[in-house]
Amino acid sequence: MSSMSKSKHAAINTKALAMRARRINDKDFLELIKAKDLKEVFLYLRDHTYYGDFLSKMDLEDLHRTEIEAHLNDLKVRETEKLMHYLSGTEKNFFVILLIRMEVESLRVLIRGIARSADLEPLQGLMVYSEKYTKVPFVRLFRARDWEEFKKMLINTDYYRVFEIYKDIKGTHELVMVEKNLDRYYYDLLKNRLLKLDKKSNQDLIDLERRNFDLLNLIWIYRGKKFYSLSREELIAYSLRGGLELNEKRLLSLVNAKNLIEIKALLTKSDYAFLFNHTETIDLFMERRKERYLYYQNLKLFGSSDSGLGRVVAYVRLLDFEIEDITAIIESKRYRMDSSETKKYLIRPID
Amino acid sequence: MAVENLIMMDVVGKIKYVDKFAKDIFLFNDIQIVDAMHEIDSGRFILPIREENMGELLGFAQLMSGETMMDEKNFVKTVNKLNELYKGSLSLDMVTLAKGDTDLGRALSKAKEFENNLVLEYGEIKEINDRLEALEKSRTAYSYLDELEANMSELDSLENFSFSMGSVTKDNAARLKSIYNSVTSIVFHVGNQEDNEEVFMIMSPKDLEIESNRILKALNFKPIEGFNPEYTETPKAILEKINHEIDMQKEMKSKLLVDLNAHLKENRKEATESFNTLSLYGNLSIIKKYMAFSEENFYFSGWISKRDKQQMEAVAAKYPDLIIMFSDTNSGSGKPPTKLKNNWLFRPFETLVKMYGVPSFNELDPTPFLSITYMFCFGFMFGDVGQGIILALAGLILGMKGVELGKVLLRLGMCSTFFGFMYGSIFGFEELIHPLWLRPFHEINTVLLAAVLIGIVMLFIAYIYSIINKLKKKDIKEGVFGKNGICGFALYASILGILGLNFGVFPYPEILVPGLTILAVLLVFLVLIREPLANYITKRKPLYKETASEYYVESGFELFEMLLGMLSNTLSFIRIGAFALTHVGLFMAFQTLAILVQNGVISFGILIFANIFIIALEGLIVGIQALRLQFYELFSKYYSGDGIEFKPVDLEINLN
Repeated sequence: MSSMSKSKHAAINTKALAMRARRINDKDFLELIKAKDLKEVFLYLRDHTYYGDFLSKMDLEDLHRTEIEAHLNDLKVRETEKLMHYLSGTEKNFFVILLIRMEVESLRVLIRGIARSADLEPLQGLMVYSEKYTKVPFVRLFRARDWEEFKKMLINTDYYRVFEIYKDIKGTHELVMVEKNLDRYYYDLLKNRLLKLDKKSNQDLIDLERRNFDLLNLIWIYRGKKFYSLSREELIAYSLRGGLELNEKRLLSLVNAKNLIEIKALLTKSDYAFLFNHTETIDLFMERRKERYLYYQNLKLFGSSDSGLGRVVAYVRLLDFEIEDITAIIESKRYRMDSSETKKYLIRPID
Repeated sequence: MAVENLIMMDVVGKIKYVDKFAKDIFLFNDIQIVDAMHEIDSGRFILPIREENMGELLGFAQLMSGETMMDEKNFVKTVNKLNELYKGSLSLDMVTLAKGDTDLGRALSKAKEFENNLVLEYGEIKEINDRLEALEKSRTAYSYLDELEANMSELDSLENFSFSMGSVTKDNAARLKSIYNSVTSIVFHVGNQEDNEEVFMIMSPKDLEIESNRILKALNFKPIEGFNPEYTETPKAILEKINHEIDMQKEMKSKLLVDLNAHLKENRKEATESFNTLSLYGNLSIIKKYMAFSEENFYFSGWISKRDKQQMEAVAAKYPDLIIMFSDTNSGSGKPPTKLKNNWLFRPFETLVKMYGVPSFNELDPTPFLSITYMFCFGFMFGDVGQGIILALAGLILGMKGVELGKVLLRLGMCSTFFGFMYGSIFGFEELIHPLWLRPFHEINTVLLAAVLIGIVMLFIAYIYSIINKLKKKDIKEGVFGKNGICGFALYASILGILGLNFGVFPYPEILVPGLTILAVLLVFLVLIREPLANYITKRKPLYKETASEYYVESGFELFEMLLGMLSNTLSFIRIGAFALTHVGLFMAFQTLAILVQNGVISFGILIFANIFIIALEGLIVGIQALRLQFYELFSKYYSGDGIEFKPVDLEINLN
């Protein structure tokens, strides 16, 4: 059985290894950190990395941070589509999830645009999605003038049901809730497709994805309590299902916790204590700590998984982290951070 | 002539006759319309400068293209509407169109009137449809509560509680269930929706309504539509009431539909008339798009067959002050499209020719030659009475279904049958009938030699075609001295002659061999110097397009290629014989298998399979090989195929 699934995935695993060999290494990252400004970062990426293809058409004199990021993500779309050729059935169906993630992020950009009554047309450059697999009519969406029109254009997609009951999204609270709804839709979809994968050959992948759910839930509950002062029921309503260590019961007890000390106490024996074991920088670095944890886990998955989809999915996730790091470096230029400060915000550890 | 002579027709007429003239063009049909504006701009639309043409000539200065003025969309819209009403059963009737005078204004007002009459009935039907939709919604809504014994009016008028029903996704249902006990409302799971969502009924105390609504919203709770305070009885009674009304509404609707259909039937004649007229005007508008207009005149251009010239002149004579001019390639028209004309036997093969390219207007149509030789080669390679008949039948059926290649297949199958009799083979069996000519496997050398001889004959004809085509284009260099021209042909013939003499096929070798050898060397030399020679004869300078040394290096290589080509082209035809042998051999292999198994049923099965296999696979291969001989060995010699296909009016204008 396992030898069969090994040979079944031999081609795609080899492909993933070959793709990963072209990744940006520490030396490149040091160069990027050293770069003086946005333009130098751009030039280095264009001339020395595999992102070059996707950046070559950009105008050097008119660079926008967010547009560069969108183009970096175009590489992810292409690589994911390429890997998809090797898959079929439930596995392909699961893999599409990685493309849907980008679709969801693009929709988020548009929704925020609508919420601040902005013209959507200029946001075109920020859209990242797979033209081949998306059912969202992005080209038409840019013409939507308000929330109602926007919703109507999505009527043939699953997203319609997600947004349907929201009459308006002008208020900050409404916007946050619509976004949470969108995320919850995505993670439910991910969970359902994850559980359809062959358990034996994908155990490592399934466990890791479930850990991700745990972390997302922890951060949500922590922030929901601290910043949005939501009721326990609402916290549960937006929490994700399918976590590994935090089952329904533990989630309820976390929701019921009165303060951070109680939350910490509940987590002492879990793998996730690291999120809160700090004194002053919990909020600032919470996201980065989660990502770094997942980064190591995905590195492990990439290295050790030789059956199922583990290695391939890890490849795409690692690409995600790479793009996030580059994005962070680009951001750091805006705030004129020095290199040691910049390194603190990167997911990967660099000395 | 298999390529018809086309001429360009240019017309200038008074604008008041433009519709009638366009109608004549539309009905005449066999004309390829060209953008008149483009013709005028490129200086090919030339009016003779005479006093009486002054008005038309001056018109050139202020021309507008019809493209910017015409709009057929309105006609098309109405036509489509009529078509929709009659479910596509109306069709354009060319005969009545040709007979009657058509009045656009009348047709438009008729169509309008017609539409207004229908609006009423349609409106009622639409109302009923809306009502039905609402009723269906209510039916679904109340059916979730069908086991409830209480009256709905009681639920609606509860003092301290409000109730709502709605659906959430499966995953959100799980979330809802985990907070059942801490939610301040009573939650009932009442069923599942078709789209896999779960339906809940929520009873919440009115004091806590806001809070519970917040939670429901967080779960993306979507209220179910269709509850109506007018329904006061128990859900069961309500459902009965709804079902009753649905039946009634449906009955009314079917009555209305009957009325509507009767109405449509009654007015069919008038509708057809309007349909005809409006379709015509739609088409005329499209024709007029290709015209150019000045204040007084219209300008029209199109390609017609030379033999239709008189007919068009007769049409033109109907209109006063209409100037009609014809020009062919000799007198300044552009490059005409190609209109092929072949008899019933050859016509299907035009498809094959067009696969390679449409013949140029000044080129011989290769279709007759290709048809004869293609059928011959196929039959020669795939000679079998039974299999041939099956191919022919398949071709016949496909052909009747409108597949053009089916007709080709029918002809190939018949040739295969013919050669089947020559070889004495029926479904591969050679024991049943006597061959009229020979059995390929018994006389292998004869078959292969015959194949090469056939090839030589075909190549000879290809040379002749090539020489004619090149001379028609006045290409002395290639036509006379080229490798596929007269020199090449003579060289090929003399080399064959020398070979024939050496093998003792022809008499007097001692005189003829040296003579032919000298001739061959001379011809090779002529081909080598063909460019300067041709330029010298036609008195053109410079003699060489590039430098002389470059030319000779290139020409030297070409010479080498030509000689090699002659050999390989000829030997290439051996495949005709080889496939004739393969055909027999393949079946023999299966036959041996069938004997080996020593089981009647299995043997029979094997032989059936063998025939299917041979017909499908070998038939395909032979078909491709024969086509390859045509395209590669023959077409490359004589055929350029860079023409443009003639497209008559009706191919260009299609309303739907």
